[in-house]
Amino acid sequence: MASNDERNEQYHLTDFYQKLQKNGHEVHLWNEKDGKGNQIFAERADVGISFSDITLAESGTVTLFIDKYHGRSISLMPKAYIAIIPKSTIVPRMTQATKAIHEKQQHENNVPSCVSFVTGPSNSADIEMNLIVGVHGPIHVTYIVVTDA
Amino acid sequence: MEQLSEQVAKRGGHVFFAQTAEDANQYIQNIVKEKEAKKIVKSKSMVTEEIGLNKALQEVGAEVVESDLGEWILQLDEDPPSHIVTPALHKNKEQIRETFSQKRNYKNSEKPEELALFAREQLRQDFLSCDIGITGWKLCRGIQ
Repeated sequence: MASNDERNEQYHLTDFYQKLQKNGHEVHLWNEKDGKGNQIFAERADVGISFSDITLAESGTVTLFIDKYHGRSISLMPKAYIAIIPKSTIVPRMTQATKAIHEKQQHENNVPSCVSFVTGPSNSADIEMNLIVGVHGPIHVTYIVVTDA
Repeated sequence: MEQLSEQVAKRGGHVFFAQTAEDANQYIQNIVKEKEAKKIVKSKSMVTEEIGLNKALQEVGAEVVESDLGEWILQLDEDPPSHIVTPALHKNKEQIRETFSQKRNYKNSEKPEELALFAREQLRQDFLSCDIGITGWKLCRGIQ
């Protein structure tokens, strides 16, 4: 399950997804016309892949701008989530991310309806204070940093 | 607050300023009725605990499922929380195993990993089949 991102082409993900399909894997790009169908696919998908829009070095957080081409299920439902991180999206911390979102609102008046901050897989210590990784969201999270401009 | 409310409305959302716990519960009950909602998944939220929201939702015939692992364990056992961060701290893993096996036919061991995996599978079905989701707000932002 992957986002239908305009960067897919530039990062050769389009070719990669085609290769996966040839090798017998099911690949579904988020389709804004498919509504609930996307969620149904995401629920049984093993891997979700999308781009980080702003990446916070201090906390290891990816920021996802959610819209009709980038559904929130991609990073939440599959067992594993892979974030593609263009190196240029890395900033020190939340301070720079909120500033960027504020400027986006001021200049473009176009902040997405949902901005997700994802910091690794979900954790719980609810059972005898034992740390368990991956309770609701993905059990495995991988960040791939790509050198861009 | 006014700015926040205006901005939410501009984006198609609704903000209701409740004077009392009853006002808040009634407003939410009306939404449940309007949407004919049967199942509601709710995140861990102290405000909803304080206003007695779960009881109000049950009064209008809705099933409420707590999504937080600790709160879910307590909900199965009809037991109140004992700690604000880890609400099921007073239960050991054997007791949790017993609760899961009695209420949900759980067959595996008392290992925390296996218990959590079971909760994950159970709650996933609730996420996919619920009509309404409820969360608290930690931080609001009313930008112009």
